[in-house]
This record gives sequence, C-alpha cells and structure tokens, in this order.
Amino acid sequence: MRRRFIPFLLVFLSFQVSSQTVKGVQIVRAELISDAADFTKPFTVGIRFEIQPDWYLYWKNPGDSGLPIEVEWVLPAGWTADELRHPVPQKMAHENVVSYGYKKEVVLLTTITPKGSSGGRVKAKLDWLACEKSCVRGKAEVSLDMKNQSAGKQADAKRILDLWKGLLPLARSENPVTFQKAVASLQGAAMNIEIPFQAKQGVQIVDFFPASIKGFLIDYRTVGVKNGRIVFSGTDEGTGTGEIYLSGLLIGADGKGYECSVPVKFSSM
Amino acid sequence: MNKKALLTVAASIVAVVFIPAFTFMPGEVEVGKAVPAFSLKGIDGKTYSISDFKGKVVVLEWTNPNCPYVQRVYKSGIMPGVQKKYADKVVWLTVNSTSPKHQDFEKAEDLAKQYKEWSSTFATMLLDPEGDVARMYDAKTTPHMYIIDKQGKLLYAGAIDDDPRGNKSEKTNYVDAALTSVLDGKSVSNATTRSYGCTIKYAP
Repeated sequence: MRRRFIPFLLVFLSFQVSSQTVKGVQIVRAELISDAADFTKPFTVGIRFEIQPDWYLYWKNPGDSGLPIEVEWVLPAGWTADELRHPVPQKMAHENVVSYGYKKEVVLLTTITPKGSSGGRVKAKLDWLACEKSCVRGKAEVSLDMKNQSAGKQADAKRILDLWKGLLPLARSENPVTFQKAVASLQGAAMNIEIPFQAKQGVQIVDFFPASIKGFLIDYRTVGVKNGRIVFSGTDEGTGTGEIYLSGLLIGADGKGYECSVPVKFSSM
Repeated sequence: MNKKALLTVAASIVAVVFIPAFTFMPGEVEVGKAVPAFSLKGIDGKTYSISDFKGKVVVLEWTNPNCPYVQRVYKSGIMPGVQKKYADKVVWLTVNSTSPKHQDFEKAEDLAKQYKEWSSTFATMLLDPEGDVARMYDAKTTPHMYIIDKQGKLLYAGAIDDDPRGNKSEKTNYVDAALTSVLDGKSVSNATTRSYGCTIKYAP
C-alpha cells in the first residue's frame, strides 16, 4: 500500500494549481503545463488559465482599463525563460472603454532554456486582474516539477500546448501587408493617424490591436482598420519625443493575428 | 510637441500629406480648454455646480469603493495623503458614477461611512447615477483624476500616479506634481496620462 502511495504522492506534488474564488465561486484556475522530458535543450512551458464564464483576463495591452497578466519566473540556477508569447486576444467594448483580453481559457507560452541535463522545479509568480461586472485582483504561485510528471499529464500538456501554439499571432517576418503612406491631422488635442497598407491576395485584414505606446495616449475607441488603413487617434503625453513606434496585431477575417510594427515620426513646422 | 503648430508626420517609408481627419469624439473635455458645466447632487443631499467653484482650483476624482484599485490607493494612504496635503488650497470633489443597477452601487450614507473610514478629506462626493457626467468628461476608470484651474480650464487628466500595480518603491504622483505646478502658476509637465483602474460601472 505504501509503495503505491509514494509514486501517487510524487505525481500529485509534481504540479501545483492555484485558483481564485469570489463568494465561493472559482473564477480563475491557474497551472503550469509542459510536455518536456528532455532537459538538454529548450522546451515550452504554458501558463494555463481557466476562466469562469463571463469573466475575462487582460492581454499584454489591456486597453483603456485593467492590467496585463504579470509573470515572474523562479527557475533552477542557470535556467532562463524567454519573453511570454500571448495568443491573439478578443476585443471587448463596454460604454466608452475598449479592452483586449481572454475569456474562458488562455495559455501564455514561453520557452525555457535549462542548464545541465536534469529536470528541476519551474515556478511562476502570477499577478492578474479578473473582471466581469466588477474586477478582482488575483495573485498566485504555481509550479511544476519537471522530473516527476506522469506520461498522461505530459500527453495532456502536449495536446493543450499544440492547440495554443496555433493561436499565437504570426511573426513579423510573416506579416502579410505592405505599409504605404502615413497620414496625420490634428483635431483639438487629438492626433489622428492613418496608415494605409496593401494586403497580400487572399488575406483580409479587419482590425488592429495596438501595443501600448510609450508617451502617447491611445484613444482605443478610434483604433481599427477602415478601407485598407490602420486608423487611430491619441494624445501626446508631453514627452516631446516627436516619435511613436506603432506595433501590434493586424487581425485577419479568419481571426488570425499578424505581428507588425511601423515607426512613425512627427515634426512640428 | 507644439500641438497648435502645423504638424507633419513621417513614417519610415512615408511622405507627409494632410487630409481631413476621420471622425473623432473624445468627449467634451480637453486639456487646455474650459470644462463643460454640470450640476450633481452630493452625498450630503445638496446640489453642486462646477461653476460654484470658479476662482478655485478644483480636483475631480472618479471613484467606486468596490474597485480594488480605489481600495488600494485609499488603504495605502496615497489618495487621502494628497487630498489632505491640498485640503485648504483646492476644492476636492469625488464623483461616483456607479449605476444603482450595478452590483457595486452603494447608498450615500454607506459611501460617506466608507470614505470616512479611509480618512478621505474630500469636500463632497457627487453622485452621477446615470453616468452622464462621466461620459461628458470621458472618465474611463476609477480612479480617474482631473484638475481644473481657477478660470475653469482643464489642466490635467489621467492617473493618480505611475504605479498601476502598487508595487513600485519610487513612484511619481502625477496629481501631486500637477497641483504643485498649478498652485505655483507653472505649466503642468505631464498634462495627460493614461488612467488605470476599473471601468466606470454604468447600468448593465
């Protein structure tokens, strides 16, 4: 009995799930997942959030309100984690506010590069804001013992990771558009910018989800794609740099996201 | 950047052309311009008009005690601290635009009790249950801060500080900095910032 119990206990302790509850209802459940078994080369780890219906978490640019999910890795000595990769979010409009985020489920992905060949415990400190009608801050620590995962758990992880890798935006090198000409005008304090683009045949771009721009306050209600142009308005925050770097995701009619980036310089006359 | 000057924009691949702007409705307020008039009832039952305070510097603070950001800036002393610092120099008005139909709604007496517990020293809390003034000012979050000068001109709109997560050891309190400038007769260096917090709780 004891010999059976010990492997069970090892598997049980190999991962740690955390949940956020409000009035007794679990609204967010977080865990780390990985299918890695070979620790001599980089491997993928996912941070999986399962979200109660009607609630949502925020993208790396939350929009007008909210907070992005923050992740702090605690890794074995010498191991490193790449930048987080965020799947294409949804755009949500409520009254005068636009948010970008995830409903039901999201898996944020990263690549971890180990040092040495033995597994170790990967830990992540998470900080998020979950919103429905009201918002609730969530914090958790989740971990995964890479050495003691069951085969079944790894197979489940592989299935989920493969699904969410397919929902990542395509890299900048696969950008299907050519930017043509930027146009700007002022209306009051608001700076209105249009960037026409030409999409490859067969690709229909229907929206644009911007990254936040340092020193420039975006009016998210104005951001979108109209007649083959990225359009947006905003206010310079007074930094006086005279330059913004517009990056974000072009959104295809099929829901695919394409990473893109355009430097835009301003000069006063 | 001089916003009144003519502007050119040059993208890396771009020649500069000016065309008519597409439709943009930022709300009725704009930093550097006179704020629109409004009247609202306070939690004390009296009616207040923004024009009552002409000749005084006015701070408008959008708030909702059930928002975790509002709770943090009060419990940490950030908001009461700046309210107290300028208590005898400005008129500090909080505005609660939470709809009675929303679960975050609180009655006037409960609001008074909660903010007193948080050591708030605001002049009064204005009640905007229809959210009309929030829309007029394009208030997006709680908290969302506005500073209006003695002539009724908007001088600051944005966040209370540069620390949305509340974990910075050194932070810039934009409202404190702006009020110092305004009261010294100097221009506000960060006149517009991105506010952070919960959305305004309009009727569901």
